[in-house]
Amino acid sequence: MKYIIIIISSLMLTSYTYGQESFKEIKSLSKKLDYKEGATINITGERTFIYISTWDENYVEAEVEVISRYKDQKQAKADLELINVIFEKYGEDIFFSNAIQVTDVNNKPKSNLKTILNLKVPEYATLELKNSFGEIEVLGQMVSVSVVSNFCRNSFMDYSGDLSLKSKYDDVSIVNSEGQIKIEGNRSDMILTKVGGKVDLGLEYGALDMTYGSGNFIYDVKAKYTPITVYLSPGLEIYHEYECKNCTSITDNCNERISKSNSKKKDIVIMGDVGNTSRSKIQSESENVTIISITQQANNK
Amino acid sequence: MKNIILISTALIGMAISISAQSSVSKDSIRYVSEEDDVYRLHQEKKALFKLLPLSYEHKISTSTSLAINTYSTTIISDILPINLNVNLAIEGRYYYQMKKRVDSGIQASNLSGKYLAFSAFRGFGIAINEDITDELNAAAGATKGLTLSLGGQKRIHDKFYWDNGFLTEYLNLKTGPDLSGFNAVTFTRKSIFGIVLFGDSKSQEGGDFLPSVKVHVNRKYALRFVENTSFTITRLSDFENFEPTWKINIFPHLVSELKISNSSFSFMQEFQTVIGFSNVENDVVGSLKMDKVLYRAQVGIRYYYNMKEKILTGEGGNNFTGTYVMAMLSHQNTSDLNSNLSYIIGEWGYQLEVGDGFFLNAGVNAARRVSGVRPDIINLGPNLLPSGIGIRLNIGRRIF
Repeated sequence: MKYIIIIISSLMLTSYTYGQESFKEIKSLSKKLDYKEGATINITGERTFIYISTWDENYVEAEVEVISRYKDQKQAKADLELINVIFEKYGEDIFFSNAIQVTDVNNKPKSNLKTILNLKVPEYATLELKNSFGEIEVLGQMVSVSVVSNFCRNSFMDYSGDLSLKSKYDDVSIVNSEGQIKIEGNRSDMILTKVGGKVDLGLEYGALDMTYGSGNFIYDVKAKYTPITVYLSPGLEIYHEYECKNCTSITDNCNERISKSNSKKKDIVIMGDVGNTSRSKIQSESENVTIISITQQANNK
Repeated sequence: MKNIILISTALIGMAISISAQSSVSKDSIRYVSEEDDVYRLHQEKKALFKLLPLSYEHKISTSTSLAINTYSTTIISDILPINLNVNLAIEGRYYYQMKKRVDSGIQASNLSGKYLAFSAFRGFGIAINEDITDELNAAAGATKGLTLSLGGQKRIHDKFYWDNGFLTEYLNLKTGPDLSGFNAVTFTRKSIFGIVLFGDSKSQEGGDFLPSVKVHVNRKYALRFVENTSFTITRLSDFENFEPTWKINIFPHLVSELKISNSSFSFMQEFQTVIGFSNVENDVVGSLKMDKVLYRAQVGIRYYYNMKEKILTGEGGNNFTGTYVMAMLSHQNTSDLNSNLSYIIGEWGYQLEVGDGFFLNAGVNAARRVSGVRPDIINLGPNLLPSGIGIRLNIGRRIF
């Protein structure tokens, strides 16, 4: 009997502790600011989930939620107040920040903190973003977006405009987008799917997966310690030429003419098409470039 | 067997529940202050080649290091004609908290920490005095001595270091070929803000790299005392057994800064003095008396011109860190009782508050004398000329 009591007690204790939830405190802000073409929207976030889309209005609207989560409600409330949310205009430029500001350096937050920022901007907007430990999602057409991010998940979907990205420890996905795109990645994983325009990638460590689109593109990829996988659509496979060195290639169209190159770079792939201005040059140090034919893959299945 | 299974089940259940509870509150992010970032505590370092003074320090174990230093000592005596000695010293340091801190993960194994040091030095001879002969000059500066220090060394960004503490020095100085000379014992508060020329470095992005979020500190008021050198106490005793002479110099230098509302402007007050005591008066040894009091008082307004933007972008707090321009009025006395001087000073500089303890302040200034007549004797600072350019480089310790 006493064993049954022990079992029941331990199960109760387990369910009690599992059931003990953390407290969640939220503060919100909603604000609209006029935007003048040429001005910069400057966003500096920490633990911020930033969602940006465009609209036809000539002002910027921000909806901000700051969330603090901790097992002690009083502490969660106190930590929430440490987040100093600013969404202000300074000159013509607009600034957002949610820095953690304290009067005593020992009064650092204990709670799990995060900020959600939903931003709607005009199509002629210029943005500069810095973020750490959060997410950036950009959708639509803009003049230019400049991003510095660490430990973030960044997504650009149907984006059109110039993009400059300095990325560290991120997961980056750019899909159905075009423009002048420059990315410096360090220990970040990148997925580029159907990205057109001029694309310059300088990557270290991490990984890169690319699928070319049907539009015009000029790629210049320099990678170090970064495994690269290139997926070829059937159209591209037929109309492009390939020169590869040490590639792991599934396509039959790879021409290993430069395999005796004295270059220190282990892998070089140059793709060109006589009838099209699109080309892609990939230089990879220390890691292989794998070219995967989507048709071939399908046939193998 | 049944008992064991039942008890084990209960214990496992409790363990799971406790781990589940802890996962609720645990945060994967390390919140770092300016202090954590600036002091480079998590950067490993085995050697530092330092400038001002010239020094090379190399770790020989986790807690100990060996250094070769060159430095000068200046002893001004009213009765002994010695001004300057340049010394070569070998110093052994014991960083007495290092191993414990490294083992507990508070810092990496480097050359930052509290230490106890012992050094032996030998002068290789510069003594300057126009009144003595070449022969005496050659013999002069043949110093030897020992120092015992209790202090702390910190890295400040990659290029600077700050070594401060208390130092007791015994100096044996020969001033002539007949072995005449004197012994000096000096107790001083040393504070060296120097440059790291190079040192081996290891990236912070190794396997133990932790993601971190910066915490900004807001300030409205700061009172600090500048501690380049705060005092010296020297006892001089002649080889020929004259009565020992004492010299005590105190260098209080206080700076207060008050934010004007919450703006980027602040109101500055600065008060700098030299208070000297000696038991020598008119070349006669007597009782210890105050023999000089020099002061400089300054008031002004600082404007941190990037502060608002830094606050708006979350790159900084509303505090006293940043690049500034400043206008000041300065008033000072001189050792000539009839000559007090006033200046208008313009300054451009940078100030960094490190943690809640220290202010690093560097700047260049231009001064214009607006009243007073320059005396013949220069005693306090370079601003005695009608106009001139000066450099501010100091470390202030926050009082409150």
